[in-house]
Amino acid sequence: MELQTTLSRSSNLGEYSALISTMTSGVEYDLQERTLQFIHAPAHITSPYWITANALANSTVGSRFIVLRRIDNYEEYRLCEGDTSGLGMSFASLFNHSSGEATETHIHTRHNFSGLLYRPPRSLEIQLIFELFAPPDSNRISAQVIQEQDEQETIRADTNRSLSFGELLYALDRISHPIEVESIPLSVDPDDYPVV
Amino acid sequence: MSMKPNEFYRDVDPLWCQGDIIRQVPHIHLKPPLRALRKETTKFGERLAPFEYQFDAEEGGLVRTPPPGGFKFSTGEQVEAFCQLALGMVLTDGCEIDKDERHRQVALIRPLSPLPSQDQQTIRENLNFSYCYLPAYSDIIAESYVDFRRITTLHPNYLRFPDRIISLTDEALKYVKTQFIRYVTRRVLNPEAIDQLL
Repeated sequence: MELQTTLSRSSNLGEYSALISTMTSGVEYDLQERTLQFIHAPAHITSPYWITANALANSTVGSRFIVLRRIDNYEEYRLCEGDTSGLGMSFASLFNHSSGEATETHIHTRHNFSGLLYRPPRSLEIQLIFELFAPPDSNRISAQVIQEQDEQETIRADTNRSLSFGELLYALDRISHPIEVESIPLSVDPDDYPVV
Repeated sequence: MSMKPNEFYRDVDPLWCQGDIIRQVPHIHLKPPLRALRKETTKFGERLAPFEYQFDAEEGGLVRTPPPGGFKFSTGEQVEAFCQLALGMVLTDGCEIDKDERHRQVALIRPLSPLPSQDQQTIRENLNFSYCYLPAYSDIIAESYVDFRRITTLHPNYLRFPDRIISLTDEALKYVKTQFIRYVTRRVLNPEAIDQLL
């Protein structure tokens, strides 16, 4: 089952949405190999924006997302948590940071959860954490927590971050499987035949 | 392949798209020997003279006269190449077409009928990974196949004048991409990954 988690920032500060949809299929998933996925909003984006993240899970795995963002004009950050079980979101106030930095400075990095909490965030960040939880009654999980507003721009996860060899291998394993039959050779080479 | 031809093809858009099928597009296959072409002025006027490049002159034993100033393959040489004008399919993604003004990837489309009948069937069933079967559609395109072995990078100017005769539907594009991924990876995409292809 693939869970697609979409979070967005509305034009009203502090309002978030999470739209979690599902796709059918059973995808094997190795929790040990899954590392935390980091998504960031580019610094040049000033208008309301979308951030989309995809998480893979099987029916026994839930996707818990964490949102950490800077609230404009305030040195205050909020942590938004939710999970794909549809239980809703919880909010918690976090740190007061004073920083003169105007742009994102920690993009394309990987952190564990504690690392995320102790870094000075400068923009919206989403971290997906996968945890085991009791499987839902149905194989489909669907929860819409808060309706989004004024979405404008889509930002895909990790598009600018270079992937490691292991991550690339894992990505290919996730989306495909080896061919089990041989390619059947032709009796001739089409290069020897006219193209028109 | 279970798609009907009218589900497989669509009319072309005003803008160039991945999956556009075009006539009279050049398909290059660089075959040995490698010959650089340099302009020379002779008593008959200006002409192109070939200069064969030896990859291993020591072992080959035959060292031909290099062009004036030597070969300049690091910066680029005009070379002699085998070329066929034929149907082609644009492989370059639409986003890339919007951004890149210098490169387009085009795959050769071959007619199926010249092949022996057993090979035609092998291609119809997509049992050879190098090829991707294309159904016939009215009198616009005969039964054909994409030859993934023959992908040429062209300047977009080559795509100005050839006719775009038809294009692929989204579903057909997924089919071709799936076959192409199979060709380059020897792996089969999972159904949910195919859904994400467009």
